[in-house]
Amino acid sequence: MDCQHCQSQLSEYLDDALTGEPLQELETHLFRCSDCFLMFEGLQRLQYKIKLDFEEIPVPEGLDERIFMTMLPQIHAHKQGKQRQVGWTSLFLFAIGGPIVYLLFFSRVFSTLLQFSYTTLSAFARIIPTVMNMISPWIAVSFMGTAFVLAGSGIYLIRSLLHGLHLNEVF
Amino acid sequence: MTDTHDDIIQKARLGNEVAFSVLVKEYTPFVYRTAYALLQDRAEAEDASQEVFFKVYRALGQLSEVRTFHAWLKTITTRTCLDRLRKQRPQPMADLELERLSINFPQHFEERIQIRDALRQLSTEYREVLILREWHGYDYQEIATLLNIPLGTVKSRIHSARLNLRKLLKD
Repeated sequence: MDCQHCQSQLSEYLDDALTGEPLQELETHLFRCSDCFLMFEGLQRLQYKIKLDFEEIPVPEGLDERIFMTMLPQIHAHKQGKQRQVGWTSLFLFAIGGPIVYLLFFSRVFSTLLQFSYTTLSAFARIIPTVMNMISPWIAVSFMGTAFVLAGSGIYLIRSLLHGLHLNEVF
Repeated sequence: MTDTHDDIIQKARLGNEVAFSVLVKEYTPFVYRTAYALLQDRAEAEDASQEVFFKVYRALGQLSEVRTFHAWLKTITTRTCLDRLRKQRPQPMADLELERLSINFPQHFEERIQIRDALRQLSTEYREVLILREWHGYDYQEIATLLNIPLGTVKSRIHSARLNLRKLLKD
């Protein structure tokens, strides 16, 4: 490694961004070359001075209070806006949910659905023992295991989908 | 019992104004120093700090993990200041700022002024990468993502910024 190559990589070395062979080559060169080592030390001192300079930037007195006091009206306006949004969302849900609840519980649709579910479930209840007797126990267990995994995945998926919705702001 | 840092953030998330004022008090120095280091203008840095805290207030509810608050705030601060930096025109250091520096750090005054002056003379591109690297401790890849530039450009900019700064301080 020559001096030009070494000096072009000093910044990366200073920032711990060099690894493997380039790192070893650079360290070997730095150990042997006093010019490059001096340059490295200079950059290191500069880095320290910059850090110190930033940390000593004077903060105007009472700035935090001024920021907060200026923000208060905005905070209140933001809160009121949020409350209005919650109100409108609740109204919207009620307007949509009302007819759905009526259709489900007070119309013939609900009783038809209930009847359909009962018929389907009872048919399954009759079929499952027959199928279980026909197939080997290992296949039955595998089917049940798969069913559990699918159900678990479904629940997890629904939870993930609902996670992004801020329902607690409404309810 | 006193609240832990995480408790304060959690309360602020739920809209507690007192908890939010505590956060503003605690993080104002960090936000202001970042803004000042990047923008090099006191009034602009104060406005940027205000903007950062309002953004934080509005988005705090979306913060998924309380422990990541500092990194999250750092990103908001950096992005806000970089946006302002793009729109800003270069301005000379106000006499008032020089006076404040001499009062706060009389022992290093000359050196501080030299460094600050040298940083001001650096181009915006060089100054921003140096601040993100030296003060915020972002690695090269993170800087590339924040500034939307290739990794190789980040490396060469940091290296050139250091060499230029070193040259400016020697002159």
